[in-house]
Amino acid sequence: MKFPSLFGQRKYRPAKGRKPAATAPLSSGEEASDALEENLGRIRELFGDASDLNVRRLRIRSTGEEAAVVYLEGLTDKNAINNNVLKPLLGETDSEGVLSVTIGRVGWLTKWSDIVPAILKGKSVLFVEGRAEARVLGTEGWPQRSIEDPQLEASLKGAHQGFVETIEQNVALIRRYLPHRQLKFANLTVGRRGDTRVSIVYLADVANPEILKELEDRISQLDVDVIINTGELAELIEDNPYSPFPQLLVTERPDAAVSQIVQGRFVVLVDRSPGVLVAPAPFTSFFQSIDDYSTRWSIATFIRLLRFMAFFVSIGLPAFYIAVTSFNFELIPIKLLLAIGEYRGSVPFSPFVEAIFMELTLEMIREAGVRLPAPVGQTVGIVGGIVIGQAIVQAGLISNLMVIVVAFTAIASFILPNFDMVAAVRLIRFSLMIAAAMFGIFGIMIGMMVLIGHLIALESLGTPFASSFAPIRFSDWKDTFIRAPLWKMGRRPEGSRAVQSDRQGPTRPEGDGR
Amino acid sequence: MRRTAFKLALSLIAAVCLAGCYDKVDMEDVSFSLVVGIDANEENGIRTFTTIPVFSKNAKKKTQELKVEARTLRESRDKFDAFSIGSFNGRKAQVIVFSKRLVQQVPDWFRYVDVFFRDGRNPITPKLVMFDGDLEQLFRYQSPDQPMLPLMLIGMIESASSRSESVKTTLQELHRQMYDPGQTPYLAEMSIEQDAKMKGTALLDRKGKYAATLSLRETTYLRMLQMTSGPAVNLTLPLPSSLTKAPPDKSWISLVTERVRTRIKPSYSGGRFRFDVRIRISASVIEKLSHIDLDKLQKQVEAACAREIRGKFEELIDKFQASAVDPVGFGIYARAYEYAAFRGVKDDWGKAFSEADIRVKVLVSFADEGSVK
Repeated sequence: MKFPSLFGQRKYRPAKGRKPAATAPLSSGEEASDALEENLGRIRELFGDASDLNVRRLRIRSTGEEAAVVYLEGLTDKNAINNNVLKPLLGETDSEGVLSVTIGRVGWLTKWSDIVPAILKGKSVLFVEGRAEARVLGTEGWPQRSIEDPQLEASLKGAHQGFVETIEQNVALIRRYLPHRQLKFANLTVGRRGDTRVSIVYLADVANPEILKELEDRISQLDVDVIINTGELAELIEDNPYSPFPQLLVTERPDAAVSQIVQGRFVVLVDRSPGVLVAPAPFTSFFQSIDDYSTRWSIATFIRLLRFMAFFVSIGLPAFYIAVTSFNFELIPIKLLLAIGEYRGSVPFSPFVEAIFMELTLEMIREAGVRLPAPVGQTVGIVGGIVIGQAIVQAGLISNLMVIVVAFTAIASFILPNFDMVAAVRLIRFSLMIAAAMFGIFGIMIGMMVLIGHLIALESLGTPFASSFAPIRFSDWKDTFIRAPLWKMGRRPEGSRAVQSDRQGPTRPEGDGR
Repeated sequence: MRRTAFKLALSLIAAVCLAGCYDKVDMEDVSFSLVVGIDANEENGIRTFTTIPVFSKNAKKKTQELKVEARTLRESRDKFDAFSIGSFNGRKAQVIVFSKRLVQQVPDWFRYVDVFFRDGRNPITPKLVMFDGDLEQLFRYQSPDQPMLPLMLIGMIESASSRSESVKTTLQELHRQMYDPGQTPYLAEMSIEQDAKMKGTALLDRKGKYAATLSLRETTYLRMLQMTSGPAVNLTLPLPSSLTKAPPDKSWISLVTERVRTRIKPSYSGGRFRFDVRIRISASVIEKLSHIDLDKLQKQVEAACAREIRGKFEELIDKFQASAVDPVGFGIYARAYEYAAFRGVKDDWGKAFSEADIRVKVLVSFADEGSVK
């Protein structure tokens, strides 16, 4: 669906025929010379006065050649350079004529357009007098965070390792779960200046090649400066960016990502970002949590149902309150009506104003809590809970029942396991409140119909977003409203369009050798 | 671009102008008429009463009672509006009280509630009561140990009806009874003696005019005939002294019904309807004053109880026939099984019913004789 901008032509247009501006005065074919001084001079010219550029001149002990190692200070591993590059070069070696260094990843480069990016990405380059090619040494080593429990998706029983900002580490975390030769990686680079590495991970014999092609296609068409975070990539490649619903799932959990891979889906790793993208992601996958699979299935089913109920409560409860107190009193039982009337009687605002005010306050408290450091964050809870909650009722500004409604919606939205889905719910809640304030229950019904119509029309990477409800796929229902026992889920979900759907055998051992 | 903006503006205007906004009124700005009382006045009009809850913390009394004279119910609403704080409406009416005078003296009084059916916003589920006395007395009745009038009336009707001691006729149900030729209407009746109390059931004739009153006790038998009695109806019956070997005042036995099944078989011969009523009661003994051995004499005691109960049913049916009313709906059976005969007397079923031959058979069986010997 195309949606017009209200303020004239400000649509984002993909660059057609626009030439990327040159990053440095570098012609593509220019090659390194065989004179050491000339090469070092060119380096200084290209990097200007970069403070972290280090040029170490030396004479190779075994051959007596003049040489220089060039690297960026912060992006390289000092240990590797000192022990594995400089030490062998300066010390005695047996082999004659070969630049022997004890580094795993090495190569020869001749073009400046290859040498410069290599230095910028943390490799060190060895120039030798009399050679027109440069030795590139894999000495990368930048500041890194250790692997921690993912903050946004805490889990009680799942693994306590979350993805980090380095793609190699993330690949390793996935490989640990799936040491299988069919686990394949499609590597792409995105960004004019950022050169962000993006890696699509999938099971080659399971995942659908059409979806892979579509995904590769969308990512390779991107023309941006740099991708800072996975969320940016998601927004750039998702099917309908004007929808409030997220159509691609972002997770920081390797176990969750792997569970999606074995269901036949694709996981997109983005270098420098701890979140990975799961595609295609149907609506119901936003209600699944990795804990569902490690708790007993009956309990997991109960919690699933609770989440779907919470979704509707969180979307519609304030709107329902407005509708029944402003339009459809007939729906309220008499005793409740008298009780509400008692509260409402002393409140000076209409239910709509009251509800909007309280919901906005709730959103503000929530945002405040997210951005503040932990010790100050507690104060927000106290201010929110006591001052806004109790004092506002005592002052007679807001009715008791409204505070209960707001608290209930807030708690209902906390149950949903996915942050992006909660954000969508929060937004939709307000539009339903406006619909309810204008047309009562009738307005809520119209709103819900529009919402469900929109959900059905949405696609995630070309597959139906509302999959397993529209189109109806009964076999997928084993893992939507309910979580069926694991041994009953013998096939991969149809919604992922896997080409090989046999997941596991049908039986489970019952003990006593049976 | 321009066209989409135009479409957007158009749909926005359409949404804003949509009908629906006009009836928005916040709850606290409404004066809900919870109980509606209708009485006849001296000038061939009606005197209407109502109770409105007052939504204010400062008000000492939580309800406001109003009384106006009007020609129709709708007209009285406009008059009430002048007295009430918020906009007055009957969308939440819970109970409608008719005075006995209205039901007894005003012909075709049912037309007065026409507005409840014709105006779709009005409920058709209010419970109905006939009040034996001056309505003024009921609406001014404010007992400090009772909840407000609407809650008190709802509570009394609900509990009496759930114990099968009275009936819970809603407006919709009364409408059906009024227009069903095979049945005559009935509704709960109450009065104020020292306190407000349920009196039983008021029976109306075909035209809706008051015909007779059933006591609370008699109503339970009516409900059993209708098969609408809930479980656990209490019956306290005397046993013959010859059986109990005790004086009559010590010969009582109390039963509580487990299951009551009533079968009515209509037939027509010789210009007269005949109904064979067979009632099977499965009951538990929960009390007996004599030392009679129930294990040995179970069959005899069951038969004695059945005789006693049958007497009650026959008395009740005699009462119906005497006033030519049929609240049980024998006519519905007649219409179903003997339509040709029923069609002839359709317009005066009450008379045909009063001449019918009704034979009652009662079977009692004890399901349980209690925890002690």
